[in-house]
Amino acid sequence: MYVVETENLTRIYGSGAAQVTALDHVSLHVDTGEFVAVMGPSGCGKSTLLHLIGGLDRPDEGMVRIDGQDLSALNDDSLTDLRRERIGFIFQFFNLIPTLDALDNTALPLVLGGMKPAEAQSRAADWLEKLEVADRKSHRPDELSGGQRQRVAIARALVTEPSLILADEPTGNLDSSAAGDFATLLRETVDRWGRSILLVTHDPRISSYADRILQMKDGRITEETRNNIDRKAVVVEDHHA
Amino acid sequence: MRELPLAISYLKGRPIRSIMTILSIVIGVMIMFGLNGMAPAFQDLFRSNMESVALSNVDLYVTRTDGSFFRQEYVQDVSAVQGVESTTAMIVQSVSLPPEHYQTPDGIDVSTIQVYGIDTSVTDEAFNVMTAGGRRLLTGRLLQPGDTGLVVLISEVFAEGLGIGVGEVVKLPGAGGWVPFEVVGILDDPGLLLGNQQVFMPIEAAQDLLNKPNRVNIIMGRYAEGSDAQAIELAMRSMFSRGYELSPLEGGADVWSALLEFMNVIFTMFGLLALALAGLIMFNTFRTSVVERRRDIGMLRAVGAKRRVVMRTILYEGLILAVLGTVLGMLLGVAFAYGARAGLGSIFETLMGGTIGKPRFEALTFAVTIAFGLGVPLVSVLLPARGASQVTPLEAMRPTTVDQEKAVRRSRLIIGLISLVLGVAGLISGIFQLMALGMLIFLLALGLLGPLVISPITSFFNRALYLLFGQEGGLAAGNIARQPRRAAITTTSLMVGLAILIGLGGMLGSVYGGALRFLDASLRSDYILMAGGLVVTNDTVGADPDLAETVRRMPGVEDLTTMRQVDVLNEDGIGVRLIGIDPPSYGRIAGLSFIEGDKSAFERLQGGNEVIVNGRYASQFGVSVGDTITLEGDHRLIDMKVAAVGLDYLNMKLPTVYMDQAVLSREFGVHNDVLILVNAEPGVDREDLEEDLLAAIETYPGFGIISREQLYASQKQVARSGTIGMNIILALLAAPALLGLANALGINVIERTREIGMLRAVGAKRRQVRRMIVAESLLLSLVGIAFGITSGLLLSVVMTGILEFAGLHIPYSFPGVGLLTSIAAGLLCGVLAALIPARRASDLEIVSALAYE
Ligand SMILES: Nc1ncnc2c1ncn2[C@@H]1O[C@H](COP(=O)(O)OP(=O)(O)OP(=O)(O)O)[C@@H](O)[C@H]1O
Ligand SMILES: [Mg+2]
Repeated sequence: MYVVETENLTRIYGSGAAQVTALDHVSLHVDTGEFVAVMGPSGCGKSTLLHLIGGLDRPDEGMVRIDGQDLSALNDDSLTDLRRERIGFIFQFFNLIPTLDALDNTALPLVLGGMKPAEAQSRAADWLEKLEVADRKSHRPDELSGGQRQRVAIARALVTEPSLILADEPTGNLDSSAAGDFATLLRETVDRWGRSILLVTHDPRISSYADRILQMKDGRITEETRNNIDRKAVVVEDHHA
Repeated sequence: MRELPLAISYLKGRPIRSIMTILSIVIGVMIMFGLNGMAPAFQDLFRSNMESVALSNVDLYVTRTDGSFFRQEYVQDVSAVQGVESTTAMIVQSVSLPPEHYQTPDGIDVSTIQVYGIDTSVTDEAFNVMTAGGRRLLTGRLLQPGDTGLVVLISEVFAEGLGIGVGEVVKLPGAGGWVPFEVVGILDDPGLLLGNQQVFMPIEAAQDLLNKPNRVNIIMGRYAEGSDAQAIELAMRSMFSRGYELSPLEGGADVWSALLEFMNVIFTMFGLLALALAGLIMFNTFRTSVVERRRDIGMLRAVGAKRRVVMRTILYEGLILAVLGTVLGMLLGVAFAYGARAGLGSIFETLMGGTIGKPRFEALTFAVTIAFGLGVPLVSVLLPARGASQVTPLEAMRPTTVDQEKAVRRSRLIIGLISLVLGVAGLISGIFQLMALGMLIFLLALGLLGPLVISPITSFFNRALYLLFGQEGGLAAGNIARQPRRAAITTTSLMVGLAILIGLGGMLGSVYGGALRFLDASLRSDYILMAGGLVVTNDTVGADPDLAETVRRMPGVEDLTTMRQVDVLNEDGIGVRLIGIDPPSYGRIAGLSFIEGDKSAFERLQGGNEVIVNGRYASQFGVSVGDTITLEGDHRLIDMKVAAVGLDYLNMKLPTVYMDQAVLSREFGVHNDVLILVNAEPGVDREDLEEDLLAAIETYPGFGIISREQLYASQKQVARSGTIGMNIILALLAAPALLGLANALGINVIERTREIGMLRAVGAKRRQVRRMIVAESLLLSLVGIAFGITSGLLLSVVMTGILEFAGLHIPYSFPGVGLLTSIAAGLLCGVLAALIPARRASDLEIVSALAYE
């Protein structure tokens, strides 16, 4: 079973002359423990694809399955539950709630899921530790650097131990060395913690960390390439065990 | 002018918010404009009878401060003064009628007859008293020189109500009974107080009727051309020193003048508070809007807009909203004034026997409303606009768009504390203008200090919220605690609204509750026989002691006590009321609510040199038990020692002295009873007794009888009628508070659109978002309630105090029920105000919320 599977995914914006087919019958899949990058020119439908897979938006046609679960069969609440438990999001901007500190931001999905704040915070602290921003845990987003913010965002995406991480140009506002660090972190996420990642990026250096690259154009997937990454012998810690 | 289109495009881009903001201004302006438009009509109503005496060509009026009588010979003394060309003497005196005795065709009860005694030998045209102050004669004739007998001019409604015409007879109540007068002329209707009928008669007839031989209460004079007015006044002052007024009649201790003053005070307060509220809402809206647009503004600056341009853009936005709000508000204000007239008119007619005129919008009302309607919003926008102009181009590059609150500054604390002190000082200053100002400063101080205390208060309620709302409650509390300033501003509108509600409610509660309590304490008898009405004035024609004797011997009467009264001057030359009581029976049947001293004081009155003063007297002249007061007796000054301070229902608004009837008759020559309180024997046939009592008062004109039950019912009715009007206005004031809260909460949601989108993306359900917003609102409401109650209680104490200046001494009573109602209303407001924003927040489409700029 794939972590993500889409069939003929189609999203049309607007109507009449102003109609835009942002996504045109896209079918793809992402394996467990696979890191997939989506690339393509601006406006080709990458974000739209991610939104549909993440259940943030509903397709006009086609379907999305997450861990075999058809999203169209879910009502808003169950969709939300699924999103919280199985998907972690990382956006380009505005990942974090400005009024919450790093720790509370990280703990947010757990708290929303009904976990006791104390426990949620201790788990969040663990992840901040793993992502090496533990010393910044009581800082608010505006007191963090761009790279630190994205680390906190990853921590937040991982804290519920989701099977899938969706990231939309997460390195868009990072300098190249920070972007490199970030990509390494994502790679580690896949290799050490066994997560799957679907990432949108313009940056070939980032996509070079992926197992597979999908090229998009005008709402379609036009090309698929596999990277032959020299996988280091990393022990995979299975948190689900 | 390139800012204007920019400003308009911003306003159009946020239509809901713009409308909410306009609405808040509309309500403030509406209340201010509407109430001020109504005020002149009310003033006319109250003044109509007072001013009817003041004639335009008269230079000099001599009256006693309390309106009492003096010797007619003084006219000659005035005439003798160099420069006084002509003089005349006059009597203006109200006489109460028993209820439902005379009525106008419209069923308005004529409760008082205002007797004008006119010197018919007067030749000077300046005193157009002969033409009844310029009133139009409809039929018959005016008074003529040589008229000295029992002839009278009455008004048309009065004549129609009586069903009589010229040449027929009207009976008027006098000191010796009902006196028949021949109607010689019928005048057009007087001003507005139809329940107070003016009748014009020769001065001799008036003196007969009132049993005041050779006495008058007004002397008027006209100066010779080119005479030295100052010199004349100096001469007059030496002639009429203490206790006299040398200006047009001011109505003395008139009930209506006190009421009028009180109403003006309340109207002004309402308008000010409503606009302050609008200002607050405006400030909040713009502050948020600026914060939200930081990136836009930064961008503008980056592409070359000067600070000035940014500032002007925001000011234009404020101006556009202010203009729209003010215009709309004024239109609605007119509607409001007419609506209020329609709604309150009937109440006033039954209460006061008058009709309210049409609302009148004077130039000053326009000027003040426009000044405040535009000024308050503009001032409120000034700070946010300045904030906007300080946004750096760099802000455009920053990813976060939400207000980054800095630690609360020390200067804020200091300014807040200073304002608090100033505000409280103003509130307790005792000067109305300062009190109103103090109130505004006080509210400002709360706004400034709010953020400082909001975190502690939030954490105080945090637990409860957590229990009630679970995780979402915790989140909500977190949101608030982290943005104390925003929270403080949000709560302020609710706080101000509640403060007004509790303040006014508490005051009204004190008035009505207190009044009924006094009524209970001071009039416990089964029946009250009274001369005229309950509000006894100096001119009330009393009954000789025979009446009391007759009643005492009546079968079925267990006990009775009588009261007499006269108004005299005290050592300060100020009119005070003396009430003569029979201490033992008064203590049994009536009684006082004692502030200082106790019942034992009644015994000490019988010694003849001690008195009880009421609270008004004590506070006005600063006396307390053991002090000595001096009163002007008939032929000498009398010193009396204060044995106690107490209150009764009928006399709480005037400085009053209670003394033994023996002293009153010895020193002041008053022998007649104005009130007789009667207790029936248990088990006696009430109907028989009532019949006997009615028979006994038959020969005493102006005497009426009212049972305890009737009295209660009628007083409660008065209280109720009064509260209806007030409640309407209260509700009107609560509306902007609700709107303000809804507005602030709505803006909070709009401001956090992306944040909410993100929350939903990472797994918050719609319900959770909704609950979070409602929880936030509830918490903010709780804080608003806590603040509102505190300031409201303070306000109500102060406003009750203000009443004292309007002549009502009322002990403050804690508005317990009002408090509970306010808490409930506040919480309800909080939830109601949150519903729409919460809906909006939970209905947000995640993708578009994330893309929200
Ligand atoms: N809400 C919308 N309404 C109308 N058209 C939209 C909407 N959102 C996206 N589009 C259009 O759909 C197309 C795909 O948009 P999308 O955001 O998915 O592009 P993208 O590949 O993420 O581009 P970029 O690399 O610039 O982020 C674009 O042509 C865009 O204009
Ligand atoms: Mg995109």
